[in-house]
Amino acid sequence: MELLTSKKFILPKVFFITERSEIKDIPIGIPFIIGSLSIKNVLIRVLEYEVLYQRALLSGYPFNFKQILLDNGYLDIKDLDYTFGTAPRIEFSSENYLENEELDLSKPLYECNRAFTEYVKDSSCYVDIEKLKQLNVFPIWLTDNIEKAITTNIHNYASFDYNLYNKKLEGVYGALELKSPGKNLIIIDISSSIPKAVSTTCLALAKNLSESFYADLLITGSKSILYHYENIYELNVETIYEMGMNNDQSYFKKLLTSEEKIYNTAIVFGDNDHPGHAWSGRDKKISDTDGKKLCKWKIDKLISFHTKGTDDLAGYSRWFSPKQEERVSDWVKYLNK
Amino acid sequence: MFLKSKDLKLVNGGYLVTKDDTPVFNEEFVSLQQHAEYIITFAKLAKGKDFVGKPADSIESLQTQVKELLYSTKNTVFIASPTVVGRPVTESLKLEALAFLDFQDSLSDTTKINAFLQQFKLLAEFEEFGLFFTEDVVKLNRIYTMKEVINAVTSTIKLLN
Repeated sequence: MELLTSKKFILPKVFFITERSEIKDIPIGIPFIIGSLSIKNVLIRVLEYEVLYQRALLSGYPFNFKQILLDNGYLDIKDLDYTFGTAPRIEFSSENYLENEELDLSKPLYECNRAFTEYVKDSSCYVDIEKLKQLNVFPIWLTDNIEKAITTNIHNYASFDYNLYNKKLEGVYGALELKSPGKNLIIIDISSSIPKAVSTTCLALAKNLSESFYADLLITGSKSILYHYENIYELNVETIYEMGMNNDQSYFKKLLTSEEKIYNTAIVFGDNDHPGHAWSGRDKKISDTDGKKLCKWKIDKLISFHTKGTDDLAGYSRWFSPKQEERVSDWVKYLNK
Repeated sequence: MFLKSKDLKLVNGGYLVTKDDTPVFNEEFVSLQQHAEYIITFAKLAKGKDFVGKPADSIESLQTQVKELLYSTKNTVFIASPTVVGRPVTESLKLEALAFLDFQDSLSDTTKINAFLQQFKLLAEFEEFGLFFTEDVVKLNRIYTMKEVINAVTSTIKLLN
């Protein structure tokens, strides 16, 4: 456990932990992020961006966030234009390479294990973390008021799970009938049509979301891989792009149709690309109606984060039949407009 | 020659000498004394300085405040509002969380102070046991003690790099 700190400026007080067992060491209400040690610097960068963005908003004046990033020393930012179905090739130097790391510039970047660290530098858009915090599914931090954040987290902690499942104490308290708390689901689309700043931010926070929200994590690119909450430690976001950045029907369909699963809430990050399209030669076009018939996963509530607004649902949620639906707007700020 | 702290003094404008006025020198000791002098002077001058500043007051807020005070109509209270329900559990959890943060801050400062002070190990050893000096001439402004160095570092750890 350590406090995340920045060399650039003061960050909100957020503790960084790498193991589920460390949650016990942190008092209720204290903001924390769970993640792999290897992406600690990425998480610090996410927090730094948030501080700068909030400061700019506070000024009340229009601002150019990209210029603000440059002015604050982020000289490595890149505009990663994304094109449907193709992964961008990015020129990057061999500087800072580990000695044993292979550098093959003939391959697209996503096939290289530096893809994640390069995509983090995408400045074509900014993910408004505030929108994620408003879900109240993980302990929040505030850039200027730790006391308020603590109070909010204490309240959310009590109301977060109606079964009063207490992860810190590893027990179920308060319910008359002992039953397992319902799991949740998070789907992150990392295909090439998703801006890299969006997919990397979601991936950087993926472990934290899964751990705090008691959720399984499904990542879709050229394949779909499901990480159960119990095995979330197996997720390595730094190599995740190696699965390919096309879209997927076959793996996704196999997951959703092979086994019945019941989830309380599904949070889905994506765009219009959906599993009904025939993405590869072996796929067939599947309508949403047929997809819903095939899907064995039951979802109570769906929260859709579509990169382009609220007119459509995030594509990989289209086969679900939720009882409630919420569409989150304005969570991606496009900086090239 | 092996000298303890009580065996050293400065004479005639800062020459480092033994009790019997023999000029002595130890390169590392002298260098640490000069470093200590910088830190102690830095701490002295940093005292009372505000490196953060404060946000300016808003003239608009002041105008609003004046208008509210002079022109707003207030309802007459006929029945007193019920007392707000206390939330001792939330409050105690909050206090526990804030105390944890204070503890982490102190822990972090202590770790940084100890790490910073490692460079003065030789000075601490000199005070505890003594050091070997050779016969040579050197001038110092003062002989600083570990206690002075610790106080200076503790008061300015957030500023020291």
